[in-house]
Amino acid sequence: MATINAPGHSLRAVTAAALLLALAGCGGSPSRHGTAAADGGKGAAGAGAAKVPEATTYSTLPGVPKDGTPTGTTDGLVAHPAKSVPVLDRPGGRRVATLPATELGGPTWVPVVETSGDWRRVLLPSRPNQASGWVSAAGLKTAHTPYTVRVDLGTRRLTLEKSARRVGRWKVAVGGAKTPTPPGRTFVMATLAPAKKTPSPIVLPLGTHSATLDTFGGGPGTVALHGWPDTSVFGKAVTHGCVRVPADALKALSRVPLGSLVLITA
Amino acid sequence: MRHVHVVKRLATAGLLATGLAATATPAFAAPALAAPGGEGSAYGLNVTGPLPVPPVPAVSSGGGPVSKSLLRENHTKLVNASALDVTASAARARSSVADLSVPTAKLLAHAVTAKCVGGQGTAHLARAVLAGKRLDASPPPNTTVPVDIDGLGRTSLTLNKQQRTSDGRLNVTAMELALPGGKGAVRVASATCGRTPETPSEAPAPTPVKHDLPVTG
Repeated sequence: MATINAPGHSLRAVTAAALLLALAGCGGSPSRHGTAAADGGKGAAGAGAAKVPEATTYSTLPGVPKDGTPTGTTDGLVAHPAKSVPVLDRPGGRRVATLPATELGGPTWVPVVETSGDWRRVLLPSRPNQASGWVSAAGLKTAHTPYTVRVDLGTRRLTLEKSARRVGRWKVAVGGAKTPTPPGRTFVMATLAPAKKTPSPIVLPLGTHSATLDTFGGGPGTVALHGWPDTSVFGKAVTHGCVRVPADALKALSRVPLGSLVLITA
Repeated sequence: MRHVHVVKRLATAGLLATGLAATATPAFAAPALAAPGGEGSAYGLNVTGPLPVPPVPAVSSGGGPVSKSLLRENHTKLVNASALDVTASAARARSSVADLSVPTAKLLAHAVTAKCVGGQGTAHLARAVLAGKRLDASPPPNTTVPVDIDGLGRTSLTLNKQQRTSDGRLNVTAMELALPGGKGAVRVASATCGRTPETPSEAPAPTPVKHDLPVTG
């Protein structure tokens, strides 16, 4: 299978048609399409931006620091860049990426996992998994999310917490043995309403990717939370990496603010 | 030694009220573990060195404004002032000192004010005179002026002294007179504040975007 995790810039010419490959592949066989889609964000802006990749679900960011606390929670601070902002490898350091103002057609919201003076370390939606980077607080709008999503791969349960109190718990389907759901700390990157309402009317792509599938259904192997019509899968390890959740879980999760942490534990 | 000389001179001048204080008191009333941007503080007058005067009057606040006033400060002959007013809230602090005089340095001022708002500091000196020379009313940050103190040698006066505290807040001191021989300092009108406190609002509930992304099913 082709590896197609090319940086976003080289993919601008790819037509929106590629995007419409959609969720149809979810649950089907891994795609053999030798293509990838461009994100819905703006083109990279500003001097120097052309030299570094945009931090999107499609890109791989060499030289970014990995999340140092992949199992920890935060105070719920999430950040939105009003326009594309530089991402540095450390406070005041080297520019390694650009964080666009939009991801997948919606506003970019990323969790703040560390603060150092005027710098905020945020999780990024790109490969490698646990990618993080430092952005200046000056270009960020911040907000507080009370929600944390926990996915326990062992018990195959998803727990939704609001202000550290459990507000919902469901049996879910997680990645199978050959295509496991990657453990670690990630976040709700987008809330999508796909054109086709089956298998799920809402898809919540996370900031993490399958470690075993470089591409899937024409996409970059993004792991998501989404619904599934066949309720017999819940409680089983049968997916290609996504977490399939019952309808009521999906309804609750669709109200979780973007950037909210998703803690996936083995 | 020079220090000894300084202290002797001060002592013989009748200024040394109590035993020598070997260590300087903190430069200002640093609030413990204040979150950046979360606390403002101010004081009118502070002397460190052999004749310490703790910061008076001193206030700090992590919330609404807190004020204190002192009609007169003349515990030592080193420095006199009247009408010391300080006020502080989470993101702002202000200190004003009227009728300041530091006789040994021939320093006089009608009013000395330091203000810190949202991490930005300013200082204002009304009719301030050093050895007969008028000082700039709105000196740029960290303006240093040489000062000769009778019999004790040369030292310096820093106007609109601005510095970051270790927790990222800004401290502005309208006047800081270093005592000769590094034996402390006289600080007049000091204010410390953080940036406007970050009170992040509740993150918005997402609006589903019509968009397709092939995900790993």
